[in-house]
Amino acid sequence: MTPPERIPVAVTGMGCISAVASDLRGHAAALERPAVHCTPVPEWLFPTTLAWPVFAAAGDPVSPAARALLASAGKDGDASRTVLLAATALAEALATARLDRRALATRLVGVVIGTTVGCTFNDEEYYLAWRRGERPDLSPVTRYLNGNLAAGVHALLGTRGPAAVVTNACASGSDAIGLGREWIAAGRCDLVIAGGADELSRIAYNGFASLQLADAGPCRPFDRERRGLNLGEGAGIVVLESARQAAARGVAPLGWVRGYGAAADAWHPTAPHPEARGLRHALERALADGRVAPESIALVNAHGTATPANDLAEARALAATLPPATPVVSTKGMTGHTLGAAGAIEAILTLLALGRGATHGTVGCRTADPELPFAPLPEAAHATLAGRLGISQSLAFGGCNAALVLEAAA
Amino acid sequence: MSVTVAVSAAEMVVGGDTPPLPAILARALRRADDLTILAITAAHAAWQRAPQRPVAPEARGLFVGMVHGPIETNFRYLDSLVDDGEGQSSPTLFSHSVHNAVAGYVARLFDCQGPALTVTTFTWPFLIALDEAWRAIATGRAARALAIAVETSCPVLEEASGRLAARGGEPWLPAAVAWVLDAAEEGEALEPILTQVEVSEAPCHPQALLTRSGETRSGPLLEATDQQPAGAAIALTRALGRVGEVAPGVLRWDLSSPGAQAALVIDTRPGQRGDR
Repeated sequence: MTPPERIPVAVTGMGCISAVASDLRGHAAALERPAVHCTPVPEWLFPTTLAWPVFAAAGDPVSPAARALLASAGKDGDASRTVLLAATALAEALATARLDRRALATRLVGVVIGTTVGCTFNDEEYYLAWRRGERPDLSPVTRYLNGNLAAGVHALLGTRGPAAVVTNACASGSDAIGLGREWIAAGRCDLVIAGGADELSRIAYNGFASLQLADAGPCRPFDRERRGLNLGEGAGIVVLESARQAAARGVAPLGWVRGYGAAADAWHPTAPHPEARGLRHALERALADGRVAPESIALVNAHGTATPANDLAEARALAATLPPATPVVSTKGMTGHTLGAAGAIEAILTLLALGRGATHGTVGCRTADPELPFAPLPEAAHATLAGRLGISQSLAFGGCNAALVLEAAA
Repeated sequence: MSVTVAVSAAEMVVGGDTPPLPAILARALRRADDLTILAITAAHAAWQRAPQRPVAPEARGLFVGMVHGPIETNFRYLDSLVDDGEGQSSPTLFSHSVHNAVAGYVARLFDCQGPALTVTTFTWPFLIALDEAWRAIATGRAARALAIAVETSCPVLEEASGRLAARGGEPWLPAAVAWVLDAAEEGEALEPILTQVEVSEAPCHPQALLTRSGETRSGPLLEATDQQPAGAAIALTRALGRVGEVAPGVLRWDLSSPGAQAALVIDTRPGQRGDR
């Protein structure tokens, strides 16, 4: 069934922070000259006896613009690291969209942000004190309550409108942008602030280690020697609005969210469907939603976690959906797996690469796995893109899959 | 495009004693946590009560809303990490501590291969889930959708809530609510019709959302006094169960809290085809 045609949804603002860089310019530069900042867990982050490396966010997680935004709302006290990362990406996205609190005050603003760690009460010190029968200071509870990203962004900006935190695990960031597109297309709000944010945490770090999904070295997406993922952290935020409103504001779109598709595997709690049934459905829906032919796709930024099962399932879905010469990369060799932020960061990297008209290969993929039915671009490769349309896709625990069809502005 | 969305069934499970599940479901849930079992129990009851319709798995959507989600499972994982040590923690507990683990189970057991979304807010995530379920049907992305709310008790936060509210911590009831929404075909007599869901958030002090202070409900929801994370979902389900006690008409139920306003509009008139 072909879905009804929607109004065009423009991306008028973008902001991004990850291990790659703390702003868009740094991420764009890394698309020219990839850099890998994969290290043992920094002591200042959390203590651990494990040796799995991570991708910690570059430098201070709070940009000067974010600090000013937090201070203006009286929120610069006791925010979680996830909130700080989100604030940095948010401040940059608003600046590129030429929006401030005053401009937002006259509009109905939707906020939809994905996260995993960011909405969990993970304060070990508090919990252990409570377990001992003590009545610990309530500050960590307050921080948890302040940590709901959608409500937090509304509080930060003084805005009002629909709000949702998407907790679809590693697909959350993609689903959040897809939902934002739905809200604009349905006329539910004037503007949507959408994206994802997540911090590195000892809990998730140990969780992935317990599942034996981590690599002891830098991750190698789609490589024949791949062993697993490295966790990362960061945030990606986009501002979405109708093309008509963007034109009325005199703002040139940076790109477009042309299509969104989501589908469940209905298969296994953690492993993807072996034939990537859900991802195939999500891809087909996203292409149909955007009325885009598979042959028009010039780039796919795959989920590409570097776990053996994920990369194989993804390659199978791509082989079933797209022409075999379509350039496919994973950017997790630069960012690590940023969980709930991944889909949003990768959507932004996709738009940046489509805008440049070129992409380098997958960092960490020295020799593409010959068993994969779809050949990714290996690390040493470089591709000139044959169009401005691309796909960013995500898979998640729980069998959730999401795909975005994106178009860079001319 | 105009699609009429009917509420085909609504069921809830409140309290710790869940009714027994069929063996095939119970076997699939042998490793599941309490949150998942609660959600499956409510979903199974609603699925059984809904009219049997030939809906393809790809057209079955799933929308789950939760306030604190698998927070108790998260604490059990933390227990495992602290007590067993790094490198020895439980992978099963970790995989169940992810918010959308519930959706993963529901999708698998009810073969829902359409869109699956889990949302988390401190106000009324069930209303968000219901709205997204409505939109999925209205835009043709699903022909049937399950909207679920689920919460467990959480002694850690119950005690904190009591201290924040300067009163004794009141235990939260484990609860799950499941509504089945269907796209009503032309001439099909499905009712009641879900006409409208509105949810809007505004800045507020977040502690009010943990203590549920200042939360109010209008009209037939007034008798629901439980200020619990799943309270609004329970109240709406109770109200829906009683629509047959009043004359057919358009019913609007309003909810208010310091952090949000919401409304839900139901049309119980026979043969009506709601639109918005």
